[in-house]
Amino acid sequence: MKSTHTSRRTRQLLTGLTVLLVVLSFSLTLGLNYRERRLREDNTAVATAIEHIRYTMVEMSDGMRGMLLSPDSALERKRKFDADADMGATVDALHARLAEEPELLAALDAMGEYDKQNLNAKENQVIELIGTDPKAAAAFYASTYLPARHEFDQLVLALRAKGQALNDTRLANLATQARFAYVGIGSLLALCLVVTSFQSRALNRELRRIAEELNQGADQTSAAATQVSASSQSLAEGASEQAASLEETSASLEEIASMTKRNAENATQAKALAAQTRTAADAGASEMEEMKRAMDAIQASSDGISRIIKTIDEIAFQTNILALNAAVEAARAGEAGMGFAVVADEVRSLAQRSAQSAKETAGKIGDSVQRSAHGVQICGQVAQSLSEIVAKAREVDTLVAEIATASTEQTQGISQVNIAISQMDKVTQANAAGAEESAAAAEELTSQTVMQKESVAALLALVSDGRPAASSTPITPAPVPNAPAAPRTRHPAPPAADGRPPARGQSRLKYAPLEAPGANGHGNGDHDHFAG
Amino acid sequence: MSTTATPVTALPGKYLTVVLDNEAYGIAVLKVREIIRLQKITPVPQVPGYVKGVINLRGRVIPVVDLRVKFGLKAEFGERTCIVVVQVKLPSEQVVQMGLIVDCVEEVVTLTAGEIEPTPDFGAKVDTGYLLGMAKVKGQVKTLLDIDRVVAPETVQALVQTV
Repeated sequence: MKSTHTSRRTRQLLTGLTVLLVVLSFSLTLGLNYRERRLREDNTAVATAIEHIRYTMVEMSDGMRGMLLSPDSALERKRKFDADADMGATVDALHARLAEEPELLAALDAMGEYDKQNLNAKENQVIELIGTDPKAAAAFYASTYLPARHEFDQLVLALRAKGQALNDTRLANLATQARFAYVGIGSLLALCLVVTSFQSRALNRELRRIAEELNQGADQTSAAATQVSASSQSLAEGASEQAASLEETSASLEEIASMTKRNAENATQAKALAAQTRTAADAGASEMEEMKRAMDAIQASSDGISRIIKTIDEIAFQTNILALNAAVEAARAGEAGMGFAVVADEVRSLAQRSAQSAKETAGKIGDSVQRSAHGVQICGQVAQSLSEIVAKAREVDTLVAEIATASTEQTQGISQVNIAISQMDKVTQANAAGAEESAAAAEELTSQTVMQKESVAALLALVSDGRPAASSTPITPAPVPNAPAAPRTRHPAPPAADGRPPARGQSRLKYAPLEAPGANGHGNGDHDHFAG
Repeated sequence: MSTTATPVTALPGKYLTVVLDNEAYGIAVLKVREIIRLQKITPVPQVPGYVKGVINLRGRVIPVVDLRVKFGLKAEFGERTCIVVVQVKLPSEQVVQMGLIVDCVEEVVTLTAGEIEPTPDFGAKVDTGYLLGMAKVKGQVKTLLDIDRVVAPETVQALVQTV
């Protein structure tokens, strides 16, 4: 990433540099041309001025000669002075133009100095001599003035030559500079081009790598699309199975609801029965109390009978004693008491029988009393048991009431569970629809991947200059999911009366045949078939 | 009968049988005065342990002896406990009445001579002086008591004098 960034920066820098160099060379060319033209123009101007000076000088000498020939001629005189003024103005202009040329300025100054010192003096002498002695003036003119003028002309020519030489030197310098600049710019441009070509090769390599990565990405995307297709298939399968389970759950819930209702009814009945049981137990307890009282009465009368028996026994005992006394008395009486002894014996045996009967009755009564006491005891236990039964019946009553309440709550809970189940059903259908959509999206993804592959192949061809694309594998089309239809057909589809729309997966049937050759109709088999 | 000095063997005749600790003993009927139920006994100090005290029998005060104590049994009274009033002849030919506390009285039986056996010899150290003999009645053996000797005559004498 960092190297890519750096190379991009370098490329930008190189491009900018190249453009800069091109612009620089253009401007350099323009500048050189301008300077050359300026130099040539200056040179031409200086040469023109010097020629003009020479012309004015000729004009001046011509004027002077005219004056010599016709001293009174004002025209000639004016001609000479006009030329004089013209030369002064030209020299001044040249002086101004050559202000930055010290060499030429020195030559010009020397020329001007000579003009002032020699030529002007000689002119003035000629003009004076014209007034006085025209012949001498002509002689002076010819002997002195003309050589001076020739000297001056030589100076002017020297100036011209000097300016010409200076100009030539500058032009030569300029040409040398231009050559150096062009060579430098050219070498820089060449360097830039070389670097750019290297960069371009690196860019190509980068592009190639990216293209291959894109290719791999397309392959991976294709695989992912296949996986998405498979998972959406299994998702649809799971959704349909879930829908079937939900139906079963719903049926079970209905059964549970009816059972719960029955439970509640039974609990109500059990409550009533428990109340009856409690009442019966209460009645039994009170009857038990009565029974206990009866037992107590029996015991009391048994006690009374027992006392009576005791009294009888006592009487028998006393009778026995009396009989024995009588027998003793009879024995004392000897023969006379024999009959009395028999009576006494009879009385005694009666008393003994009476005592025996009393004893037996007492035994019976005691037995009865004992049994009665036992009955009382059992009676108490039964009463306790009955009271326990009453308590338990109360508990049962409470429990049954709680059961009834719980059953009612359970019914409410079951209705809530029913609502939740219907919501789950909706979610399941949404899941199935989502699985359909994701399958379609996987298909779309696969076609996009094919297009991407083609683009990558084109890019690779472009990058590798006709070399064959290396890793271009054909994209296998993602299998069209048909699984959502299969489980739906396995489980009977819910009737339309349920309000549920028919499974969207069924529409896939006409695109993907269920019975793939060599596959058992299961999703994975289909995949293998399509992939192979 | 009154002249017999030492009747070694019992005479046949009627006997009143009494029970002491489930054993029956015979007392000659002619010695028995009467049979009464147990009544209030007034204790008398300075007498042997088997003498329970005295009772008032129709105006006459008579001593009462507990035969269970006398025979070395545990002293206890039951519902059927009776007092048999007997006539004891002292060595001084004086006849006194005395009460004997028994568990109960059974009957009056008539014993023949064949039913009476002499007292067996238990050895010299055992005093069998107050036994008249042994009677076989209905497969049982009943000891016949010599009521004159059951309680030592001297003691009875002293008692009578005390009373």
